[in-house]
Amino acid sequence: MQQVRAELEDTEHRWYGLIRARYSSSQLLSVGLGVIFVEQPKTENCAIGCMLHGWQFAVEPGVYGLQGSVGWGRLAGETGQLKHLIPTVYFGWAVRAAVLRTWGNSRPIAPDQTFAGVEANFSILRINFAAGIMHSLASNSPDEWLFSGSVGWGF
Amino acid sequence: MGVLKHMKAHSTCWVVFISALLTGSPLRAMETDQYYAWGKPIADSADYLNAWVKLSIQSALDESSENATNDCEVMVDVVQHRMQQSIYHAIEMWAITSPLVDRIPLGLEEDRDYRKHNLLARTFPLDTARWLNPSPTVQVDGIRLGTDKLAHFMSEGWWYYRWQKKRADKYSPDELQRKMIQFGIKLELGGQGKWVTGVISPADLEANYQGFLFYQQLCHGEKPLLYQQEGRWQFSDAFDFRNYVNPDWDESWQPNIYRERQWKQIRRTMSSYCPMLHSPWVEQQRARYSKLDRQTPTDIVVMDRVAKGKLPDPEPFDIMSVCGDN
Repeated sequence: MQQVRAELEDTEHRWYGLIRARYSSSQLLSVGLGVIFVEQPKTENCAIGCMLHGWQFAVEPGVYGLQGSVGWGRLAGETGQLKHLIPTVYFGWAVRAAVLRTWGNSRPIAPDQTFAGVEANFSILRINFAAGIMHSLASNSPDEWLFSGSVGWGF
Repeated sequence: MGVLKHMKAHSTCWVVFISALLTGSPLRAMETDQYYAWGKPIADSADYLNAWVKLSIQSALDESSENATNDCEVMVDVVQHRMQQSIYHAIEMWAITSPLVDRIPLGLEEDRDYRKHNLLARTFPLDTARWLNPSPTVQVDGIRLGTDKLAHFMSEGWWYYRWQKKRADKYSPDELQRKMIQFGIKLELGGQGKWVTGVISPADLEANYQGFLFYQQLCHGEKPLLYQQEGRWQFSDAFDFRNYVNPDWDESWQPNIYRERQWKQIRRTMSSYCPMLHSPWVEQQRARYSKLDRQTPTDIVVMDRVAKGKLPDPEPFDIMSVCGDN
């Protein structure tokens, strides 16, 4: 009992990198890099699998814009040989507040606009699904509301 | 035509898989392979697993805002919320990562080998059973089991408990138990097994049933596992996995039922273990299992469903049948 208690109570703060590539209605193709901050038992190793939950931050440049997000999520995944990157997410979900700046010849959304809103993410067996709702930060924007959906790989 | 049939079957699997997730169904479909661990020593983890359960449940009870209630069933919900999650369960994730729990495989290198050589490793490439990491084998009271069984115990055990609680007034106790296990078989035939991975596991069903007994014992019986002391709820030290685990939890003893397309390759891999059947280690283990094995309520219902043609017969998938054919 004491050994298990010691293991569960002897925790430390760690971070793990997250990666996502997806096709979305707002950015077309994009690649996201993120990080999740967690508290884990010191002895826990994510090489073959672990369950994590914590705050997440991500930056995601795409063909038609750049998105930044912050939120909270939970996932079961593994690092494999990579100590601090989780390329394999078996199951996970997150809710993130997001800001999107559009650029290029994005259609149907006009370029050079900024949106803010919420995005819900769900990953199963490495496949990621996301849906978001955002509102333009400019009062004279041609697109007041932006609804987005995406499918991709990662988390 | 065969390809179309296969594509249709696969699309259906995915529809069920995603639907189950979106509706919050108790989808659990990780597979395991106890043959892979044959002859390899594993230290017994019963004490560590018991300690983890006791600490986790006591912590949930202590943290609960419901602690003032006198209604034990309210505290069962508190236990369930801590022990049961979606797909991946805390007890299994702890068992596959803790250095205290001995297991096969252990560590990244062994895990890679396991993924290459477990029973399901060489089925067809789009086999969904291969998309989830296979569960390692641990040992409790000399009985080998996949860590997925710990999750079945905590998760589907709860589903059984909830199912029977809702219907307790409708059936006689025997009828209620039979129908509850049939409910478990339906889960195995759906999002818990056949439709997602193609595998129906009577060993999973046994772990589910034992989990049900655990949830039932929380508030019922002569000495319930949950009790009040000085106005606070406590979890009894009497909890012990040894009271629930039996040889039917070991998939090398209680065989799975596989779909035809998987079985070709699984049979080949299983055949490679035939020479080991006569090794002292396997003979000793099977003799011990034979002594311990009792007909459980799950066995009775499974046999009845097989006899009625509602469930395929597991016997052809047993290693004795496989090796006897060679």
